[in-house]
Amino acid sequence: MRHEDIIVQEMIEADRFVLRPCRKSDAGLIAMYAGDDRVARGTRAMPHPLPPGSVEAMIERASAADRSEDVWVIDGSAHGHAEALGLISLERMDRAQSEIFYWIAPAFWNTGFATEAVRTLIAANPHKSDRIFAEVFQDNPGSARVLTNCGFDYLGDAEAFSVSRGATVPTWTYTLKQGS
Amino acid sequence: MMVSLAYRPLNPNDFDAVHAIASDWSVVRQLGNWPWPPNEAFTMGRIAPYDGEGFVWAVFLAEKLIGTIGLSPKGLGYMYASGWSGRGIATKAAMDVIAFGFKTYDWTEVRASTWIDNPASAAVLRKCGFTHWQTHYEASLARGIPTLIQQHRLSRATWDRLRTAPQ
Repeated sequence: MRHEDIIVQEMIEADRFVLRPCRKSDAGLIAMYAGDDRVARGTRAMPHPLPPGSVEAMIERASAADRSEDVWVIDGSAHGHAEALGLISLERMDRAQSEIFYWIAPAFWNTGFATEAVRTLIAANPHKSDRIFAEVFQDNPGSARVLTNCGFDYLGDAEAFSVSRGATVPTWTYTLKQGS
Repeated sequence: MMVSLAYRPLNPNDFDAVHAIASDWSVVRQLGNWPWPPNEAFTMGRIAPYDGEGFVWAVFLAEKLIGTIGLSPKGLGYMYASGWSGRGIATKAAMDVIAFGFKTYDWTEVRASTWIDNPASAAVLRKCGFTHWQTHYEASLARGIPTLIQQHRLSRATWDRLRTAPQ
C-alpha cells in the first residue's frame, strides 16, 4: 500500500498563541486585517485594496502539496485572543536557506506578538534551515526591531518592489545563522 | 555590429568546452548557482537534456562553442568564455533567445538577475529592454556568502513595443 507524499506542517505552541496551518475558514478574518493599508504597505506582495478572492487563493496556495512557502496563522483563540492575530511564513530558498515573512493585524501592534511568533518559529526551525533571511522596508523600523530582538544580524541595504505602493522601496536585510 | 551566432541544445559532447568555462573563476563568480571549485558531475548535470518548460542552448561563433544560454520561467541565464567580450555577442544571443522564448511559450514576462558587481551583464539586459525592479541578498554558491543581486524583468508588451517602435 502506498501513501501519497504529504508535506506535514506541524502546529507550533507559543505562550500566548499557537502557530497552525491555514484553513479555509480563516479567509474572512485574514481578509479583514489584510485589507488594512498599514499591513499592505509593509509587505512586498500584498495588493491594496485587496482584490476579492486573493486571501482564498493564498490559503489554497499555502495548502498545495508542491508549495514553496509554509504559512502559519498566529491563532490566539485558546488564550482569549483573536483567532487570527496575523500570519507568519517561511519560504524555502535553495540549499537549506529560508526567508521569513510576517505581519500582525494593526489592532494587536505593540504587544510583542511578532517577536514571540518569530522567536517561536525559528526555535522550532521547521525547514531545518542553516540560514534564515528577512527583509523590512526602511520606513518600518518596528519590524526591524522584531528581527534584532530575535537575534538576526543586519546584512545590508537592498530594495524591493512593493505591490501596494507600486514602487521599489529601500529595505534593510537581516540574516540569522541557525545553530550558531 | 552584427555577429553571426548559431545555437543548438547542449549535449554530452560539449562537456570539455563547457567545463573549461565553468573552471574559470572570473566567470563562475558571476553565475547564480554553479559550484566552486569546479565539479565535473555538476557540469555533466547541466549539459544533460533540459526537461521542463524552457531550453538551454550552446552558443557557437564560427563553429566554436563559446558559451551557453538558457531561458525558463525562472529566468534568463548565460555564460561565456572570457575573451569574447565587447563584440555584442551576449546581447545578440540574449535577444535571439528572448524572441524564441516569447514566440514558443505564452510567458507574459521574462526575468533575469545579475550580481551587483557585474555591470556588464546588467548592460546586456538593459540593451534587451529589461528594467531593474529590485535588489536582494542571495547566497552565492560560488562565493559562499550572501551577495546583493539585482533583479530585472522584461514584459512581453515591452519587448513587442521595442520591436515595433519607429527607429
